[in-house]
Amino acid sequence: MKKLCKFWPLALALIAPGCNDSATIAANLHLTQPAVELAAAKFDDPEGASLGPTPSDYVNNLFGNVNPSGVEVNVGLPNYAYFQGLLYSQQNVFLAGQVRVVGGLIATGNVTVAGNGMVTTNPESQIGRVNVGQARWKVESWVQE
Amino acid sequence: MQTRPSLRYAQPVKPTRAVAIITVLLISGVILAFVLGGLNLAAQHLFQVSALHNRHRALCAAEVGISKAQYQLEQNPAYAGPTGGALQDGSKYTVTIVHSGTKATLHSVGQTAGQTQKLRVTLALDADTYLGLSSRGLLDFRTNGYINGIRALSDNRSARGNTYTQDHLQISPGKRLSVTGQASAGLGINQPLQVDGHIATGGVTANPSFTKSSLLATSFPGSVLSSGTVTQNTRVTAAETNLTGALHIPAGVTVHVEGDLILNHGVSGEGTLVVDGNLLMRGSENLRNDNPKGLLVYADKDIILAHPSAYTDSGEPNGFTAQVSPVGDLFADMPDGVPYLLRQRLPPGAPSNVNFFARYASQESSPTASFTEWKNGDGTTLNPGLPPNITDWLHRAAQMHGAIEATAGP
Repeated sequence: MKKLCKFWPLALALIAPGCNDSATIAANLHLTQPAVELAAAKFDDPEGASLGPTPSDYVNNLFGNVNPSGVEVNVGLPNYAYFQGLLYSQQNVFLAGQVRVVGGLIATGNVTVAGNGMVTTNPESQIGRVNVGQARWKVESWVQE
Repeated sequence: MQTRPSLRYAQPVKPTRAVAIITVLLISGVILAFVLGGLNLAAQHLFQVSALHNRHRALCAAEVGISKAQYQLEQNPAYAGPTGGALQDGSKYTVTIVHSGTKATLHSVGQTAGQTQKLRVTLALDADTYLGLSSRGLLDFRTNGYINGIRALSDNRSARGNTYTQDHLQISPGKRLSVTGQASAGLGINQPLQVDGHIATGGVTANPSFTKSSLLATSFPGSVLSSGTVTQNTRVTAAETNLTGALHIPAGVTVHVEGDLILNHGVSGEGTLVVDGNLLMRGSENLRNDNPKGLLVYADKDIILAHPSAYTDSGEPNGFTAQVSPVGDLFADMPDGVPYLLRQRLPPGAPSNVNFFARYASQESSPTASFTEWKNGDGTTLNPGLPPNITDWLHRAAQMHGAIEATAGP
C-alpha cells in the first residue's frame, strides 16, 4: 500500500502496526541505516517518467524488423531501467526493481537484489578498470597481408 | 720397283667421319647447354627455395609476435604494446596493438634475410574474463535475478556472465537466479539456482585497478553540479546534492561529491563519479549508444540503484515497492537461442512479428504437420527439433501472448 508506511524512527514505527522502522529495514536489506533514511526521504515516490525503451522496438528487433544500429536488441528489455558502466561501493549495494547494470558491479559489503534485477557483464566497461589474472580473448580474424 | 705414294696425293677425309665429328661436337654442345641450363635452373631454384624458406621464417616470426602479444594481452587486457623480439635463427618481429572497444587489432611484422611477412589479427575480449557481480559480503536475491553478459554494447550477442562472493550466496525460497556463466560463493550457496555454466566454491573477488586517491588525482576547477552535461572536473562540498534531471559525465571528466548524492533521473557518460557519502540513483530510461564503456562510479558508502517506479514503503518486506513487468521478466529469462530462432528459423507461414506468440499458442493446441516437424524435428540427427529450454520458454511466451501484445506490440 503506497505511502501508508514510512521509514519512521522506532518510536513512531511502534504506533503504526505493520510498518518497520529504518533500522529494521536497513538490517533486512543489508544496508546502513543512513542510506535507508536518505532513501525514505528522497525516493518516497515513483519517479513517474516514462519507463524503458519503446517496447515495440524491442520485440520488433527480436524478429529482425528494425535496423540494429538504431535500437539495441536484448539490452533494451521491456520495463527495465539501466545503469551503464562499473559500479563500485566500499559498502553495500541495493538494486530495487527491474534495473539492469550493463557493465559490472563490485561491492566490498553486501549486495541485495529485489525486483528481478539483472547484472550484465560488458567487458568494455571493465577493461582498464579491473585487473584480471588471465583475460580471455577470441580470435575474430587472421589475415596475412 | 715400288714407289711410296706421294703425300700430295693423300686421300681426303671421308664424309662419314666428318659427320661423326660434327655430330659429336653438336651433342657435346647440347650436353654442355643442358648442363649450363641445369646449373642455372638449380641456382635459381636454390635462390627461390632460400627465399621461400626465409619467407616462412619471417612468417613464423610474425606468428611468434602475435602469440607473444596475445600472451601479454591475457595478462593485461589494456596492454598497448608495442612488443618485439628475435628468434634464435635471427628472425625478428615487431607487433603494434590498436585497441578499439573490446577489440584489439595486432599488426605483426616478421623479418629475416631481406624477407618480410605481415599479419593482421583481430582479437575480441570475452565477457567471461570478468565478474559481472563481485562481493565480499552476502549476495542476497530476494526475487528472481539474472547474471549474464554481452560481447559489447555494439555487439550485444549473449556471453557468459559470472558472479562471486567471499560470503554466502542466498536466494529466497521459490525464487530463481539465472547465471549464464559461473556462480561461486566462498561460504556456500543456500538454495538451488539455475546455472547455464557451472557452480563453483572457489574464486577471488574483482580487483579494481583504481583507488579513490587515483581517481581524485586531478584538479577540480568546478564547484557547482547541476543536471545536464558536466563540462569540467567538478568538486561539490555540500552535505547533500539532489539533482532532479539526468546527469551526463562525458569521458575525461571527474565529478567528486563529498556528501550524499541523489540522482532522480539517472546518470550516463564515460567519465568518473566519486561520492564520499551514500549514492541514490534511478536507472536511466534508455541505453545510450554513445557511451559504450559507461561510467566509473565509486562510492564510499551505500549505493541504491532504483527503478523509476520504485519507492520506499516500510510496509513491504523489502522496504521498497516497484513495478515489475512479467513481460520484461519473460524476456530477461529468454534462452540464448531464441533471438536466432525468431530471426532465422520461424516455422512456415508464421508471422515475423509480435503476433508470432499468438500463432504459437494456437499451434500448440491444434498443431499442423509442418509446425510439429519444426518444433519436434523429424527424428533424425539432422533435424532434432527445438531444445527443451527453448520450447519451454516459447510455451511461457505463448501463454502470455496477450500481455506481450499489450506491452510490447506496435
